[in-house]
Amino acid sequence: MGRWILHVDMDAFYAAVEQLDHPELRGKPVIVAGLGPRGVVATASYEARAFGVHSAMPTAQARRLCPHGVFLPPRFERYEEMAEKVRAILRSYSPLMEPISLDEAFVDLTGTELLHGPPERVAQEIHERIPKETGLSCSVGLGPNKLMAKLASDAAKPGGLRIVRPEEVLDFLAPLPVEDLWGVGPKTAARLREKGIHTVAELREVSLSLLQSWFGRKGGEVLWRLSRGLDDDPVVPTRPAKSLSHETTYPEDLFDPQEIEAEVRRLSLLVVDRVQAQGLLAQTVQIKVRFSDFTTVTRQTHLPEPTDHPLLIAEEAVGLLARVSIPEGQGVRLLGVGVAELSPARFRALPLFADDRLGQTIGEIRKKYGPQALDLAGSGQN
Amino acid sequence: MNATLRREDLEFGVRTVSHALGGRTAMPILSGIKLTTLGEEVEFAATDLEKAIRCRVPAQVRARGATVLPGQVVSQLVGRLPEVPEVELESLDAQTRLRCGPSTFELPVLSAEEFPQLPEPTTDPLGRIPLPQLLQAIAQTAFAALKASETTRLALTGVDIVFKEGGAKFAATNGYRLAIKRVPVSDLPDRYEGAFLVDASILSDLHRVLSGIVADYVSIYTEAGQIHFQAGPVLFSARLIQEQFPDFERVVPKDNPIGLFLPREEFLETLRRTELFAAEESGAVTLRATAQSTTLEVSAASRERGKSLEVVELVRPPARGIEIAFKAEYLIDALRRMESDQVALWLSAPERAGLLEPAGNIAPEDEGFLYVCMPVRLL
Repeated sequence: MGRWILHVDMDAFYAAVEQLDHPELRGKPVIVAGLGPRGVVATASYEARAFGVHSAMPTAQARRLCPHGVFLPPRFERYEEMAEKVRAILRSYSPLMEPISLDEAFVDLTGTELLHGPPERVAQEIHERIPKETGLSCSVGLGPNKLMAKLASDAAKPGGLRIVRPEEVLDFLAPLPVEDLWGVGPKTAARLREKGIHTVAELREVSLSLLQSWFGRKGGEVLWRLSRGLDDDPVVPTRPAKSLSHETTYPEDLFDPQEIEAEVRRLSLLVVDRVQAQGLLAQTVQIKVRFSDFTTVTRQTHLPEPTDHPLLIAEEAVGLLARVSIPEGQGVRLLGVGVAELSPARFRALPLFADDRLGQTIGEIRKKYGPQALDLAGSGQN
Repeated sequence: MNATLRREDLEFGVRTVSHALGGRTAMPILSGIKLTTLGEEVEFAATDLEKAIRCRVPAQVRARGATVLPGQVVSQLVGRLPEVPEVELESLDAQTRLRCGPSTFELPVLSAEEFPQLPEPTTDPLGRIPLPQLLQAIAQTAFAALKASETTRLALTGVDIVFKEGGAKFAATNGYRLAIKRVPVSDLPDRYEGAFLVDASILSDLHRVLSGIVADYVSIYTEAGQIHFQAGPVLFSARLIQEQFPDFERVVPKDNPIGLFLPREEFLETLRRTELFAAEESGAVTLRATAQSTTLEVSAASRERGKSLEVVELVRPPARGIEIAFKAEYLIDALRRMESDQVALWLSAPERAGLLEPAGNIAPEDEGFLYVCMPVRLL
């Protein structure tokens, strides 16, 4: 029996969340971007894309292209929250759900027919449920593997649903430019173009041995398979992240030690939100501090037990901060808090001096009412 | 200086203070052992600035003075000297000559003026603890602290020593388990209360040093951010950790109703076997007791390692049944440092702390020992 893989891509995700939260912005060009002098565009709404604004473009350039656009700083906490809502919907169809980023995920629907009905219908249902339950538009692709599912959702953008059945794969791929294939980078595409190969159909006409003579044994084989829509990469649920972190570059360097410490607490909680949302525990806490002159220091501790307790992680991060001596005259340009040594939360080592349930409650409140609903004050010990 | 020492005294002096040799070379002088003549004695001293050890041994002093010898060479040399009764030390211009039977060694010296001034007790001792009990207090608590690599918060890397009501409580915790040992203190001033936080690894060094000496009591002095332990010829000084140790009395369960009375060694052996089957991340083993039954099931299971189930006979049936999981390592840590034939593990609920204490014929070594261990919740 063949596989059925679904790919969901949220449309202009950050900008769409802003338009959802601020109805007055709907229909206007919204650009979520770093607003500092060094900022870049994270997401542009479709209205802004009409002006040529796209992600990763310097914010200054976007302002020139779209002077009437609404420029907003990203609110990752909020996006994470909405992303989790989407993930929850997806998880209800299959435990094999692999988030790729905040706005993209794969779901393996193979063998779920008995529970949820035919995958084509599930794809339709998901495509309707996500906008209904989150207020956000999404593109959904369904195909016999990850490669095809992703290409299908690309073809469905924005807001559409595209199903590519196994027998349609070759025709679907034929007209696509080679760089659309996952794993074909700009360099490979350029080399193919030099040889007169622009579309997947053209690529398919090159023999395996010739491709291997151009790109090596492995690389040639990958191209040969991609051009035929062959991909057996599995959907790995909650991709075991090696680490999770949050960083902020400040528009103006921070000098006030109390403010710096408060920022470390805030970033710690954001990291813990994600640790909890993904059902993980962390045993290493890391911080990163970049000074005005761009020198960067990192510090880390290996905790005695894995934890997702916001207080334990935040206190450790603040303790690490205390071990960083800020050079004379230097401010803090960037702060980052991260966790590593992540493992699934299959158990919970209960702490003696911190209330375990409090840790969970903090997470729940932030999840329900947003991260701004609850922050940590200093313990007064520092 | 010019002095003659018994070879064993030289070896003892060097060995004793070498525990405080500075490992890092930021200050080369800290790699030295300072020898100073004091009347009819020679004092050996070494420090890494966190702790300092001094040790006096008898000597025939012909010329007074001080010298700082390279610590690493000397501490290796004293164990390899020819077996003659006496050793002669003599300061030359830039060397110290060490003569021992047929052998003569000339050791380069470090500048005695550069050697740091060591903290000194200037007041009367706060009190005295019998040496064996101090050693046992360290052995039964220091292990429970956090390692320096496990935290930036120094408080939990220390052992809190709380003097109160004619005794001292030693307490150490890593935030998940807590070891407490109460020992008697003689001569403690009436109604005196004071708490001193000392790095657990330094106390382990103190344990090593004091294990090698003969003395009845250890006198304790505290002043100016230091704590001093003086026993026989040895004075051991440690810098106090200037942080607040958590209020540990608060987390000691007061009335856990379910008492599991266990044969200590058997329970320990069972845990050591069961631990092998625990999931690697949690290290958790499950204890299952049934009301009015003397059967305790100890089990563990993990996908990678398989399953184990063992039955330990309780000394008497518990009042209620319970199923609770602990990190095996935490229970083993305590059980293997106890001597009594039985232990009692007092429990109340699967998510509440357990209290472990000696039971049955309580061995003198276990007097005043308490251990609190948080369970693991398996999801």
